[in-house]
Amino acid sequence: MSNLRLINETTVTSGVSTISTTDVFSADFDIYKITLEGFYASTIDYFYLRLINSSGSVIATTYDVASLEMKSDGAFNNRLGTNFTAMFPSTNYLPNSEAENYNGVFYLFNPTSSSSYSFMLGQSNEAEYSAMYSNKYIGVLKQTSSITGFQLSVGTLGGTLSGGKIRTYGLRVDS
Amino acid sequence: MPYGYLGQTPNQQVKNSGVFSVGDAKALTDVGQLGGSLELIEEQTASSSSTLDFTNLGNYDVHLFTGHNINMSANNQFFRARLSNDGGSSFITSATQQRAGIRNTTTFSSDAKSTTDTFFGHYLTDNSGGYSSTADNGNFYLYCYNLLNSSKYSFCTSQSTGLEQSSSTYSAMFGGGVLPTAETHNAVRFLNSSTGTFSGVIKCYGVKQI
Repeated sequence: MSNLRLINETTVTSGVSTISTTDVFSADFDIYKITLEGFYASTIDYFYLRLINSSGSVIATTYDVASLEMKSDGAFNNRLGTNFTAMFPSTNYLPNSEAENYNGVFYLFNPTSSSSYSFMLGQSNEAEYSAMYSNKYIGVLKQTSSITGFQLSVGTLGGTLSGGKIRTYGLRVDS
Repeated sequence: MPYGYLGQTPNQQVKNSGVFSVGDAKALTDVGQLGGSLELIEEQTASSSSTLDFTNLGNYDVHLFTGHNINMSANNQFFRARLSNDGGSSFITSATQQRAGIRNTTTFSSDAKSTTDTFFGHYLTDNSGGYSSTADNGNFYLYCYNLLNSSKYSFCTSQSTGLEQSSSTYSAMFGGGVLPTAETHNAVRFLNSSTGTFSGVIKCYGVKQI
């Protein structure tokens, strides 16, 4: 059997400001791959990733994050934060049209480990303001609590999610 | 659902390690619980080729291309991609495509962006094929999104590792691109952005979906 295993597929319901994928991380895998495809919002809005612990609580603290925002028509920007409230930096955007949609691939390391922080690597792409924005992300949740899911959200600027699909895969090593 | 029984399905109470019937296998596959999640669609090998086309993209929202041992025929050449909306009869060269990325080498780091590119996505390798050595090859991965969706733009992100095209020093690049027309793109071409040729292996995968 292939070592990349689809665990969950979740489709956004239009009109919500958050979407949670719960109970997808377990001791079966140390590394997870998450693909986001076709995300957009009712208005251009900030887009955040937060992790969910085994008690079902969304964690909104102690994230260190960094990203490089690469624009096709302007200066590139470094976005940094320590002890931030989410795993994406503060100025990560979702576009407001289906055509311009946001897509990305993210890897999450050690989410369920009780002795390790949870780390994230990612890369995304979207169009907005008539330009292309590509982001490269790193992030860490500086807690050793067991993480079993994650939440994506908008709403800071009053928007709601209009579309998107989340697929979660485990990377398996069978010894 | 109890698996592994041929004939009448019993009221299974405990875990069974029997044999999957054809129906069992299909039922599990239909819900994504059997089989791999990275599905190889096609592998092609280029040998002094000017282009390499993938005209069968299956039915996926997300595609992954990997490039291995990419060598260009001369120095100062980049490896790039183009999309087709007519099944590979022609490939889009309109100067409306956008890209942004970084070239990191051992001697410099630079932004690389365009709003009027004639290729799809960022540079795929920074390759010093002009040194006539297959040892200094380029390698990359390229994720493509929404290629087959007529309502969405086609996007991509990529990352590469290799040697810089003119100095043979180490280079790593990452970035993304978009073809900002909401239409179906049903073939992908890989090519030398100059007039030369290239060699190497490219694989096309579909990332599994239900």
